[in-house]
Amino acid sequence: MKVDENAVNNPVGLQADGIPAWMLSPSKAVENESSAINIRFLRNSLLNLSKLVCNEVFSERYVERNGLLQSIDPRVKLLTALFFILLGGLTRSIMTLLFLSCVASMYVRLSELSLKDYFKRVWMVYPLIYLIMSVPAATSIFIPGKQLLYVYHNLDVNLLFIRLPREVYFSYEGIAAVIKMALRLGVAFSFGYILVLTTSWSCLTRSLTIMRVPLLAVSVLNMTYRYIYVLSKTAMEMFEARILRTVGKIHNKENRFFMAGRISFLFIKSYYLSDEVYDAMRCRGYTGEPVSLSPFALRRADYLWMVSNLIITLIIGTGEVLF
Amino acid sequence: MHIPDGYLSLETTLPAIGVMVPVWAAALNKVKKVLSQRQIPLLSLCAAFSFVIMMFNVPLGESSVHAVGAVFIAILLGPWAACIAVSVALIIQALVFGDGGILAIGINCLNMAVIMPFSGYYLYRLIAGNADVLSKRSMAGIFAGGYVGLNLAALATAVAYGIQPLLFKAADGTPLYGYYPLSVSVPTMMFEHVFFAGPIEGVITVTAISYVAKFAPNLLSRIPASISDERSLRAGYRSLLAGLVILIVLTPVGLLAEGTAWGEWSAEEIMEKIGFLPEGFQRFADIWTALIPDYSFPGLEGSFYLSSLAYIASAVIGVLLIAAVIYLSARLIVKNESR
Repeated sequence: MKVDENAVNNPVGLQADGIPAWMLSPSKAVENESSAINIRFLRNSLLNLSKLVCNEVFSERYVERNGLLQSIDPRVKLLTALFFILLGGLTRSIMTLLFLSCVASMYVRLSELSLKDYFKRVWMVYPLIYLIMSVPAATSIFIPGKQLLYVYHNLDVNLLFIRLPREVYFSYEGIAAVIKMALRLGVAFSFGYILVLTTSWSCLTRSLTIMRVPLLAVSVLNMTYRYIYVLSKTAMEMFEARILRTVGKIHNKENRFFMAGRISFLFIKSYYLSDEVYDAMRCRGYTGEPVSLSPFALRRADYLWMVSNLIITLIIGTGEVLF
Repeated sequence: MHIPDGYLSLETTLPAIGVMVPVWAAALNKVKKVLSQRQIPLLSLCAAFSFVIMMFNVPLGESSVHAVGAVFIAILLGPWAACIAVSVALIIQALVFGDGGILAIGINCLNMAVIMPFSGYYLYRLIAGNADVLSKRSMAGIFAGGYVGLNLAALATAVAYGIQPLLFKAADGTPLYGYYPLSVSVPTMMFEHVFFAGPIEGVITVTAISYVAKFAPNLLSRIPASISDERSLRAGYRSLLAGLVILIVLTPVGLLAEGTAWGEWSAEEIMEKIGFLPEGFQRFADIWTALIPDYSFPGLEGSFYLSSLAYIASAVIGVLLIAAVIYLSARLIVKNESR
């Protein structure tokens, strides 16, 4: 019997000169076309995913420290953080917001978190973005009031069909409203940041049960958190591989097709992985009902913490009434 | 599209959490029936999937946009499972990564985990009917689902931003929370989504679904089990929904009619009609006008089309509120009965 020698020695379809067939197919790279794009979107996606991992490493470092907030019961901490965020949302006084930002930075310091990181990751993100976005809102177009600074004065111009207002100025009320907004965002974000950085994820989700969140939802949150890292590792590997074998520019359409393909591949993978995970859980005695181990117990530190925060609130409340 | 804490008033964010709690409970119940014990791993993996793909950048011109993928999950696993998966992803984003506020979790989930998957999914079912997944008709349905779903979510976000300066003001008229009115927030938000993010979401959803249909067709065949009971539900409510939609669209007709609707006279009109003003009416009249004056949003008065839009928005809010009240009371009654 005649055996096809080529098929035996050459399972991947190597050509006579030793190059695989897929390498000889025409390249999808294009030159000098405006719709072509480099691989920046891949690098950005990769960067987003690696930030996830960095964030986890970053927060793990702080949870283990021996600071003030690390020693407080997670349930009490959760309620305190929510309380302060609510207080920040309710107040109408800049003074109260300033007080609350001070309280937040003190807690950061006492919990042995880095103040520099705190300012960089909290105040330089949402509050700053919204402050910049809100510059037009501080003018008389949106919030008229006492004039503080004129942008222009006594102007009579028609732009096409739009008649510009005669005068535009930054109003005192506008500036106050914008500052208040930035402070409020910062305060809300600060307490969330402190809570998350001083509490491990499993303690945080377990403390949700005191707000009557069912155990089922808590276990979904916990498992999701774990598998985010598994799936992002897979995604990172896919993007790295793509970056490594991309030379030149490729059509945007081709790139979008690639991204859609990765999305569906990841979905198929997660679907089958969930089957395997379920089987593994069954093997370890899972009956369909999640159980929680080691219940929390309140200690004296927690009561002290509550009393001190109550006093802080009283002080802030007095400030609110006075100013 | 993630709303942070502090920009919206608590009067907006807390009721949104109130709306989401029964929705989450209903979704968990629905998914439990279909998936039984497998639900925890499957929901967790899908939530993790939803979280990870929100990090993906899809190229568009020289720049790139994010995909949300809520409609993609809704088409594959049904809108209830998508609601939970996207909600869990959003909750983790808010708690751990500070994307979106903690108190704003309710409103963010309402926009991206309810409005987007449900509107996208039902639009897809409406257009695709019983057509094969890879047929042109079904593809058009998937595109429309992704496009419209994302845009409705963006619109809901813009409305949440835009109603702040109208509803929450200090005594001197200075806005207490967000300050850009609907006339600014809606065009700004919608421009980006109608022309850029929306089409990309549609294209990505279509391509990704057809990829799944080609490479894992057995996955698609598992789906009907999760939606079979929804069909009967839909049949029951279809006529009711159609009626409601017609009523909402017709509300601007009220603007054409002269005079005031019976029983909706203002204080002045009552004075004119009966000669005196009941004391109780005077007391309550101010409270009512403070909520939504004349069913229209200040700043949008003037042209007929704008006031029509305001009327439609008021009608939608009214219908949603009534539906929520009926749904909640029904749930409470059923609970009491079963005890």
